[in-house]
This record gives sequence, C-alpha cells and structure tokens, in this order.
Amino acid sequence: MENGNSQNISEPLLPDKQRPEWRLLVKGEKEYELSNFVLQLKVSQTATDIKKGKLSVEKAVDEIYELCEKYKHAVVKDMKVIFSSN
Amino acid sequence: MSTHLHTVEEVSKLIKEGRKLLLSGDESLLTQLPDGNWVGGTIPYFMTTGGGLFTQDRIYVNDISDIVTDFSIVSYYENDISQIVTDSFDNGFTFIILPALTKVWSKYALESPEWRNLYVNPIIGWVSGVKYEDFGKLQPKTYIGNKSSANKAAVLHARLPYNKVARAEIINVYEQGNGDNIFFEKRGFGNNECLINGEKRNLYDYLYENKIDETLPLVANYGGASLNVGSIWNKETKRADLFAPVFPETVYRVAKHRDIDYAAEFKEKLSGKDASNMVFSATCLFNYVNFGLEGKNIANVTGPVTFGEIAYHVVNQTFVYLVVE
Repeated sequence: MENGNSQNISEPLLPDKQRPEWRLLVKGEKEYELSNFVLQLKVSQTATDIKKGKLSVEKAVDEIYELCEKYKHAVVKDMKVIFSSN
Repeated sequence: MSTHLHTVEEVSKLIKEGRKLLLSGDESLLTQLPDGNWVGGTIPYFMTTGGGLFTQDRIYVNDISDIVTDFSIVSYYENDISQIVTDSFDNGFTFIILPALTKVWSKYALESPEWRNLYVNPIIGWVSGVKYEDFGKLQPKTYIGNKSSANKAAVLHARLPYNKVARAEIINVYEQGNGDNIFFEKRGFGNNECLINGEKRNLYDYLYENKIDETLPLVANYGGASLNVGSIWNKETKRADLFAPVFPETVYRVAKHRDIDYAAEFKEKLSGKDASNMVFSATCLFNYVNFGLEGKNIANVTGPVTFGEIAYHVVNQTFVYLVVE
C-alpha cells in the first residue's frame, strides 16, 4: 500500500483522501471484496444514501475516511484491495 | 476477565465487589441477584468449552471491569432507543440486550440501519428469550441491575482507554443461494408480500411451493456482508414470521443449503479473522438447534445462545462478537 513514507512504520497510513478510489467506494460504483465488517456496512449505507440524495459524496468520503482511520489496523487488507486494483 | 458459567452466589459476590458485568441466564436466577453494575437478559442456552448447553442453574458472565475506563448503564424504550448512538462514549462500545418481540426490539431493528452515526462505535449484543418450550408463554426480560423489564432495552455504554479500539464482527455460515431475487416493497417483520421475478407473491406460499428448507434464512448482501433474516413458518396461518426485518431496495435470496459441517465451516471463517482479543460473543438458537450444537465445542467460543444477535443490526442465525485491541 502506498503511504508516501519510506520509514518502517508500525502505524498504517491511509491513502490520501483525494484519491478517486474513495469516491468510487462510497458511491458503490465499483464493488470491492472487502473483509472488514463495519466497512462493508458503512459502504452499503453511503452508497444507498448518496443514491437517495441524503448524503453528498464529499461527506460520505469524510465519514468513510474517519471510520478507516479508527480501524486503520483492521482495514489494512481492504485498503490494499481498494487502492491496488485497476 | 471471567467468561464462565457461575452460580447465583458467585455472581452476587462479583456484583458486590463492584465488577462490571454482562449477564445472561434463566429469569429464576437473574431475579435473585443484587443490584449493581450489571446488565442482563434471560436465556437458558449457552455455548461453552464443553459444548452447547441448556441450563437453568448457571449464569453466564462477561466481566468487562478490567477493559473499560468508564461506563453508563441505561434502559431505553422504543421512543428513545435511537439515543443509544449519541449516548455512547467517544471511544468505546455499546452493549445492548433487547427483549424479543417487543416494540423496542422492533423499533431498533427497523430503524437503526438508517441512523446516521450507527457505525461510529460498535454496537454489540443479543435478543433475550426463554426456554424454547416456553416461547409464547413466558416473556423474555432484560435487566438493569436487579430491575427487570419485559419492554425495555438494557444497555451498557463503555469507554475504552485511548490506546484501545473495539470492533464488532460476525461469522455467518450462510451465503446467498443462486435462487430467485426476492424484494420487499415495505420494510417490516410481518411482510409476506414480496416481488419475485417482477411478480407479486406471498412469501410463505413461494417458500412452501418451492419446497425450500424451512430452516434456511433469507440472506441480503450489505457491501459484501451477508446478513440473515430467519423465520418460523406458521402452517395454520400460512405465514413466515420473520425474526429480523426486511427492507425495500434490498435483494434477498434464500440461503444456500445447510448441508455443511458447521464446526468446520465456522472454524475456517474464524481463522480468517483476527479474533484473538474477543471480549464477548453470542450465537443463535436456530443454529444451536439446526446444527445440533448441544454438547459440541465450536472453536472454544463461549457465550449465550439467543433469540437474535446484534452487531449494529439485528441479525439471525449468526455468530456475533466484540474484539477490543
């Protein structure tokens, strides 16, 4: 996973919030094989709420990013899936 | 932290010592306990390291005293249950017990998926019940200390140290089958009206006519997470009574067959997860009965065997657990 940091870190860093994959993720436009349970649920919720006009893409990205920050150790595998796929 | 089955005397001692406890057991036992820092629910079925067990002589104890830095114990009715999200601590988890087939159970199950901040902190718990033969005769109860209720949710909000985080997870051995897509136009528990291949059908009639295994749940896919809706068929009224709600714009399919080795399937799924710091778990009475779990040790997991499980959502036929790491 790219993190822009050449040091050997113990704390995983999330990809930059400006990466387009975050938007694809929250809109549900691309289906990823995620394994973290709460991330799966949150992605499902944001995609539904964006479709219904209840949530903006930007706010959805903020919420998903915050969730991933909290669970940064638990979502390492999912981050690789999302940000390494074409 | 203790996760054992205990006598009333042993649990009373823990309560008097000020321990913070999550309890499950038969009503005849819970009702004998003194007041204190505990929440509880009625159920006489458990998973133990000796295997699945029915007992009305022991209380199952999760002692969370050593992992939380602060806590609050609150009961909620259906008109304020949505506050459990805002009442939670900034970094922590919420433990909830809902009494089965009540307004607060129904309200939480139906509305929680739409709460904006539902996923900020883990919500883990279970649905209280009774001995299966007493279903319909006795009321499931919850407890806030030694005050019981047949219609309130019992909740313990826990705060964790800044360097810890809680994570709610599930293990579901069921997957969506390859059959028809089933849609429901209205959310609810009592929905038997559904759309299948564009045609309005009665759910019970569809399941019955297609000789669907009655024990199989409907399964929905939430971003890759499989969530079950279990049912009990009422052949007199020709209804499939649902134990979790269904929602519109969601594709349900009958689960694949359950001709599986539950223990092997469970262990395989558990091995793919980091569950080394499990502090609570619960599983479903449907699985206990359908897979013959009485006397069977399943991966050394222990906890109450319940009338429904809660991992943010109310789910059925699922193993739910909380990790603190």
